[in-house]
Amino acid sequence: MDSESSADLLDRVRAGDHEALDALLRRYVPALRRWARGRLPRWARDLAETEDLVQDTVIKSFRSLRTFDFRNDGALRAYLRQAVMNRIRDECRRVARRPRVGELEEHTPASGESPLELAIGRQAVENYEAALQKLTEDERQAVVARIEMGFSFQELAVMLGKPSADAARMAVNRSLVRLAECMSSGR
Amino acid sequence: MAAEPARLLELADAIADGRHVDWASAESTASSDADRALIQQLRLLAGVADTHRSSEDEADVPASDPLVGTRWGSLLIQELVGAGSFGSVYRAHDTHLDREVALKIIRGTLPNREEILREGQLLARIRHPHVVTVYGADLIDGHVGLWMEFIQGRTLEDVLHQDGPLSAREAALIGVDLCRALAAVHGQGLFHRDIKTQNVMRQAGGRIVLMDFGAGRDRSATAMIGAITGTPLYMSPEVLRGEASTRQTDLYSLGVLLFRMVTGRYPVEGRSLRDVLDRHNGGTRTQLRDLRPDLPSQFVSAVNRAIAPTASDRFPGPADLEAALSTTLEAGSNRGRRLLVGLAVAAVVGLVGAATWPRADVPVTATPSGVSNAVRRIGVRPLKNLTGDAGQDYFAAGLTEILLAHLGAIKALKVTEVASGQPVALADLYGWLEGSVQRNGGRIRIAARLVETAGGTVLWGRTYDGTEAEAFGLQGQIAADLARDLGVSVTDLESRRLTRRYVANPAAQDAYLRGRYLIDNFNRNNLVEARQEFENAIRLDPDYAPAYASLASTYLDMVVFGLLTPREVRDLAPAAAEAAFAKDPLLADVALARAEVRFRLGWDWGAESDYRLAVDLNPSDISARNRLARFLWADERLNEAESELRTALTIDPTSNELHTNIGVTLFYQGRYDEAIRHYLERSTGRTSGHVGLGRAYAGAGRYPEAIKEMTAAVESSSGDPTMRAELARMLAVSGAPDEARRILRQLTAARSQKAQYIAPQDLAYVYIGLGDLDRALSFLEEAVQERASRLLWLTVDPRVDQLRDEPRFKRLLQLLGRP
Repeated sequence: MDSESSADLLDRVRAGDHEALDALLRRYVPALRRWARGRLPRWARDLAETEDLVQDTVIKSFRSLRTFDFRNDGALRAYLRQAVMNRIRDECRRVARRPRVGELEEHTPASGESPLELAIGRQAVENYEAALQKLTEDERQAVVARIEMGFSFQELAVMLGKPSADAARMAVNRSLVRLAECMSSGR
Repeated sequence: MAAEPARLLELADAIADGRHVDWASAESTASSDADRALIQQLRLLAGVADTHRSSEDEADVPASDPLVGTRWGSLLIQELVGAGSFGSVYRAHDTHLDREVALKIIRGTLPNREEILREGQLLARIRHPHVVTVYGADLIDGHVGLWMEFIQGRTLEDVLHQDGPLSAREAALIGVDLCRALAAVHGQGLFHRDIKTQNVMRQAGGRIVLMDFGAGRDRSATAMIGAITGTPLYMSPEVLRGEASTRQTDLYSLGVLLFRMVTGRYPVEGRSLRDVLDRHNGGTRTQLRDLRPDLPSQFVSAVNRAIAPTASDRFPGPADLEAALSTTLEAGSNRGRRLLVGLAVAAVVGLVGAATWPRADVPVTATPSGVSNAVRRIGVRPLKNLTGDAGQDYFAAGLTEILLAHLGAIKALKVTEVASGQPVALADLYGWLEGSVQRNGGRIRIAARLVETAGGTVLWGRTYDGTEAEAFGLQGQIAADLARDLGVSVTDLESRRLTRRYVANPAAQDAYLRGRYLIDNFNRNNLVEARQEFENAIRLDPDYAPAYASLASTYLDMVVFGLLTPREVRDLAPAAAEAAFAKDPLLADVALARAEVRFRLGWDWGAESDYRLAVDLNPSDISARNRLARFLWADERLNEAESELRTALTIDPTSNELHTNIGVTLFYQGRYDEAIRHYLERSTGRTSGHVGLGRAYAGAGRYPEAIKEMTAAVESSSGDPTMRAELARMLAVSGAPDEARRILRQLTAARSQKAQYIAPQDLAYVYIGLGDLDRALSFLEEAVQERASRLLWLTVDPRVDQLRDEPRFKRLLQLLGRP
C-alpha cells in the first residue's frame, strides 16, 4: 500500500491532481477489475471496454464523492464494488435491449451468463446476493473482500479494524457460516 | 446455529483459503438435515470463491504473511505455501544445515500444544523413504512448529482427479510403498489415524510419501470436532463405533485408499456420519469387483481383505498386505498395456537382497527390500577437479561423462545430469551423486558419494584409487558398487560391462578427454581442435573405440557448421564409425555415432537399429532418445517420436532440447494449437523457441503473430539466412509477397556473390510460398545434389505439402531413399 492515505489522495484529486488520481486507481482498480471479470458475462469480458468500465466507474465515483466520510478503507472498497456492480447491471440491461446481431452468439447460448452464474447457477447467485444484504456491513465486507476480491487477511485486518490477521480470519469464517445460514433459510 | 459450529468454521476456513474440500465426505459428517443444508450452502460459497479466484491475475496475488522473512530458531521463513485452521505451512531455509525445509507453525490458540510437540518429536524418529521426514518439533517465540522435508508433488487425490482411476498395477505399486511406510510408523509404536488420498504425495519422480500424522492439523481437528479424527469414509467400522485405533484400522484406511484409487469411489458411502455407520452395520457396501470387473483377482482379494468389516479378518500387519500386493505385481508383469517406462521397468525388477550400506550411520530404514518397485532416479553432479590446476578441468569433466555413461547403462537407474549450481528438479531425485578427482604422478583417486536430496544426508560414499589407464574401469566400478548398494537390479550383461577392465593408453585417453571437453564447451572453432585431439588419441591407441566414435560425430558437426562439405566426409565419417563399432560395439556413444553417420550422411533408413541399440545401451541418454525421435519424424512415425521424447522428459524434465523437439513433433503432427501452447508455456527467448512458435502460428493461420516471432528469430540469430528465408516464406503466404520478394532478392544476391552460404532448400520454401512451384522444385533438386541432410524431414514437413502430388517431388523422395 502506498503510504499516503486515500482520504489525502482524494482531496488532491478534487484539487485536480492527476498523479493522485493515478495513485488511487493503482490502489483500487486492479482488485476490482479481477472481481468484475467473475461478474461479467462472457461477451463483456472479452471486450476491451471491461477495463474502461471499471476504471471509468471508479473515476466517476471519486469525482462524485463530496467528502471522504468512509470510516475506513474497507468501506470505500465496498462502496466502489457496489458502484461497479450497478454499472455492470446497467450495462447488461443496455445491451439486452440492443437487437442481437452477432451470429457467434448463437453458438454460445450461455453467453449472457457471468462465470459465477455458470458456476453455481443464476438462482443461487440471486440467493447469494439477497443473503449478503441480510448480513451486517462488517460481515458483508469480510466475505466479499476475501472470497470475491481475494484480499489477504493482513489487508482485511486493516480494512475491518481487527487487531491481527488471525482475528480477521476468524471474522471471515464466522461471516461465511452466517451467510450460509441466511442462504439456507432464504431458499 | 447448527450443532457443530467448529466443523462448519473449519469448512469456512478452507473456503476462505481456497483449499480443496472433499464435499461428499464433508456432507457425510452432517449430523442433521439442517446441518447438511448448511454444508451445501457452504459448498456454493466455495464455488463463488473459486470463480473469483480463477479470474485473478497470478502476478499480483499478495503473498503477505507476518512470519515471512522472519526467523524461527535456525530457520529463515521464506514463503507461505499453505494455511488452514491448524496453522500455516511455510517453505523455510535451515541456515545451520543449509537445506530447504517445510515448517508447520501450529496456530497459537489451539489446545494440546504440548501433546503436538511431544508427538512431533516422536515422529522425528521415523526415517523412511516413504514417510515424510520430520526433522524436529519445538516451541519457540510462543509458536509450536514442526519442520520437515519439503515435498513437491501432487496428492493422490489430485492424481485421481487429474489422471482418472489407476490400473491395478499402479495402485499396487503405491500400496506396496505405503505398506512399508506404515510398517515404519507402527514400528515406532504410532498409528497414522488419517490415511487418505489427500495425505499421500506423489513426487514427480514417482516417490510416494505419506504425510500428515495425528499431529498438527488432524490433532487439532480432533480437538475441535470431538471424538473423531480422520474422514468417516476412510474409517473402519470399529473406529466409527468409538473404539481405539490399531494397526488394523490403519490398514483398513489404506484398503479404502486403494479402492478409491482404482474406482474414484468408496466401499461404504453415505451422506452423514449416521448414514455411513448404518451402512456398515447393515453390511451395505459397494463391491470392487462390480465397479472394475477388469481388475486381476489377486488385487481385488488383497483390497477386500484389507477392508474386511471385522478387524480380525484383515491382514495382521502392513507386511502381509504388502506381500499380497506384490503377488499382484508378479502375476501382472507379463501382460497388460505398456505403462510409463518407469513403471514398466519396475515390473521386471526382481527380488534383490537386502543391501549393505558402507556406513553405519546411514539409515537402515532406507534399505530397499522385497520387490523393488523403485526405478531410482539419481542426479549426477560434475566431479570436482581437486588438482588445483584449472587446466585439468577437462579430466574431471571427462570422467564425469564416463561415469554418466556407466550409470545410465543400468536400466533400473534413471540418471539425470545436474549441472553444477543448478538446483532444479532435485525434489524428485532419490539423491545426487557428487565427488572429486585427484591426479598425481600417473595415479588418480576418485571420491564419490550419494547425498540424500531432501536432507543432505550422505547415503553412500567410497573412494577409488587406480592408475590413469584404469580411469574408465574405475567409473564402471563406482556405478556397479552404487547400484549394488542401492539395491537396484543389475542384469548379468550390465554387470559384465561395468566391471570389464578397460585399459587405455593414458596419453590417448588424455587426448580423448581433451577433445570431449572441447565438444562439450561448444563453439564452432572448437570443432577443428577437437578433431585433432581425437585423431591424436587414435594415433596413440589405435584400439580406442570412444575416440573413433567421437571423431565420427565431429565430422558430422563440422558439416553442419559449414567447416567441411558432405562430400569431404563421405568416406571419413563412415570409416571412423565402423572402426569404433569394430573395437567396441557395446558403447552407447559408438552406436549413436554410427546411427547418425548412417542416417544423416548416408540417408540409410536402416539406421534405426543403431539408434535403438544406443538407447538400449544407455536408457538415460537424453541425446540418444532425441536423435532417435528425429529419425522417427523423418520416418513418418510421429507418435512414436512423441512417446520417446516424453519418456526422455521423465529423465530430465528441464532439457530445453527435449521441449523444443516436442514442439516440433506437435508441429509435424499438425497440432498447431497445442504447439503454440507448448512454446508459450516455456518461452526461452532463444532462436529455436521463436522459430517453433512462429511456424506453429503460421500453421494455424495466425500470420501476424507468426511474423512477429519469426522477426524475433531473425534478430536473435543475427540474421541467419535460414531464419530470413522462413520469414520471407511467411510473408509470402500471409499476403505480403512484395516484402517476401525483397528478402528473397537479398538472399539470392548474397548467394551469387558467395558472400554467405545460402541453402537451396531454404529458397525453395520461399518459392512455394510465392506459388512458384517449378522453381521451388529446382532448388530442392539442387539440395539433393548437395546431399543436405535437412532434406530427410521433407517427408513430414507441412511446408512442402503443395508439392506432394508433383511427379518431380516424388522422384526427389525416392532419391532420399523413400519408397
